[in-house]
Amino acid sequence: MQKRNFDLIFQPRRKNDKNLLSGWQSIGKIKIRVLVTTTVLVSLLLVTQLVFAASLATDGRKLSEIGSEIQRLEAENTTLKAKIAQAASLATLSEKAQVLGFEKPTKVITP
Amino acid sequence: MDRIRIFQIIFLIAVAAIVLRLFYWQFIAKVQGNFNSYATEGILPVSRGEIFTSDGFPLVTNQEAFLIYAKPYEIKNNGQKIAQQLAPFLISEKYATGEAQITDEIKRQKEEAIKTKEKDLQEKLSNKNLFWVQLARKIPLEAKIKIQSAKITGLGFEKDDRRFYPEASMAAQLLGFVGSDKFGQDTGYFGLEGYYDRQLRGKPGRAQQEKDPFGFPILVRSYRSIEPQKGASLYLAIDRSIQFKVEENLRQAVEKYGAKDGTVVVENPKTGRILAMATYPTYNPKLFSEFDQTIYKNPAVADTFEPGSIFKLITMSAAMDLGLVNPNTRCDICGGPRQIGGFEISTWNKKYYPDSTMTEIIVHSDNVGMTYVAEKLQTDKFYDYITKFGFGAKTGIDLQEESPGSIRPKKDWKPIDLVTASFGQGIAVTPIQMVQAVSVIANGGKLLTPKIAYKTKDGQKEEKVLPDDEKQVISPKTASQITEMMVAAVENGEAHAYAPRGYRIAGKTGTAQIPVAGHYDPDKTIASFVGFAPADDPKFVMLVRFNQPSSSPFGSETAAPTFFEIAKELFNYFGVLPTG
Repeated sequence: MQKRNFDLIFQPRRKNDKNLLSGWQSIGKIKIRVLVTTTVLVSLLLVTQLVFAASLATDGRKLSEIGSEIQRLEAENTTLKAKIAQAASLATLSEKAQVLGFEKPTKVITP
Repeated sequence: MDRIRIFQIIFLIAVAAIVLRLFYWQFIAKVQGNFNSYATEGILPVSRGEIFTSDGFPLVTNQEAFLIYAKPYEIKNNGQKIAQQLAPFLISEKYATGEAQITDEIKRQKEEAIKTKEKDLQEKLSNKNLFWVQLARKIPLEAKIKIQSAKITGLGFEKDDRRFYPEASMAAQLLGFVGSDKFGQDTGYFGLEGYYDRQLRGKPGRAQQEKDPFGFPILVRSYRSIEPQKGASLYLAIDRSIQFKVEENLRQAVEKYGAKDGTVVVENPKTGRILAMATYPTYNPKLFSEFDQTIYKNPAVADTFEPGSIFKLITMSAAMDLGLVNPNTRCDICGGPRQIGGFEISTWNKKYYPDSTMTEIIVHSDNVGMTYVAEKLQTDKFYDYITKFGFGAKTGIDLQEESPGSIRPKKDWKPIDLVTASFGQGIAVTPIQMVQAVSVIANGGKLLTPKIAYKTKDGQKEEKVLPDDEKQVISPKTASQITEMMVAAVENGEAHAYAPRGYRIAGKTGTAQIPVAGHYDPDKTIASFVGFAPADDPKFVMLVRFNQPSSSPFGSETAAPTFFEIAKELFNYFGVLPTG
């Protein structure tokens, strides 16, 4: 069995380098496939995670915007509700009715 | 060294640099107290529950408002200019009226308030040791916009909603107000706000979240949050239209009769629900701190007074329920004043009616006649009935400041106490106790707990506010007999001229002297009228009470006309037709 020299992996490929070729060959065809497949899978997973992370970062921004919009609408809703209630108050209506010439009923009217 | 080795070294240095930089941001920068830590934990504010009248109108709702704060260390110089800019927006809202409408005196007060505020603000802003200082709370949106437009550095705002009253001061003493407790939290005081504070205030939420350097949430991180729970809303039996009519009439009457104050309570005797409860003078709950604190309590439940002649109904009910007298029983001691325990008991107008029937005693509001009834009853039985009618204990109405009134312990009663109590002197009751007791007569002898709210609504969950179990205090027959006596009192009594024609109204006037320093003040009275209508199928029980009316001391000339004025409007409102 030949001695493995992994340092050679980082060496530039030299033509007719018998030692290197013999080192790789010694791993065997099946083992090379496993190594390549794992590398591809890990790379894919890393890319997927990056894609998701990027997507989530965008979603964080969207969530923040939606949160602000909800707050704005709730505040507007509160203000409008208060305005409607004030416009419909009996004090306001009674004042307007008086200006328009309405009078209090003095007799009971039944249908 | 070959090129590969150089490349390896550069690569390792770069990796080490990145790791070191990350370590710095993760640990060193954080440990040194950088306030921009990306993990935030905050309180999520919650809105207080609203209060609605029976027609679903919000009598109390919320309005957007803000807390304004400053970071003095970010403010250049001593902040004098900023204080001058801010002060006009942070003074009391009572000065918010347009310049053209305010008097010179108010203008002077406003200028003084601005100066005081300026001084206070400058003091806060010049303290550079403070990182954060609160300048004012609950400032309105309009003020916030104006302040923001001035683009002042070092100022900030936080959401700090406040109560809003669309009907202004309507039912103020009934509602109570919201102030701050010692921790600065919104808390309800007095009235419904005080009684239902726990339900109305809700539960603030908490949120813990990590944010990136731009302030956006990092979604891949897990964070815990507790959702805020909005306060429950309160739905009242108070009828807004009746409340409005009652308040309008009461204000006019208090001014007309020159009374110190006045109270009106209107109740549905069949359900115990309060339809209206008004007091004048009143206050604006939005500006509660600008008013005298003595006005905060609701006199309808907190004030005790000697009821005077309206209490004769209770004495007569007890004696008739026990079968000791009936409407036609004749009083054989009613021909003149009586001496009891060293005191002279006389009638209010010094007129005497020998051999009066029990009905006539009520019609003439005869004190001597009541001594006859009291002596038939004796202390034990009378005391038992007073207790059964609910006097001397809280009625259980849903208002915070209710008083139990004051009835002397039975063992301390002397013969004179029995006699004076029979015509409503020497005992102290609250207006709501009196309304509850007369409702017993209007409701066939059954006592119901008066209630103002009829339900609370917490999200989708509704909870009814139910009165306590009803109790039979007097028999339906007695209730009916007393009703007829009350009708006779309205039709033939002192106030008959004011009663609307064609309606059977059951009622009784009352004029009670006020005890001052151990004796009764001859010039100060509490004038009242209590009754219900229509007598055969009552739609309402009403009490009108004036404290120290100056135009006339008598209930028949002040409280009774007011009662009938309001009753006329209620007949129109309920569609009750005249029968005669």
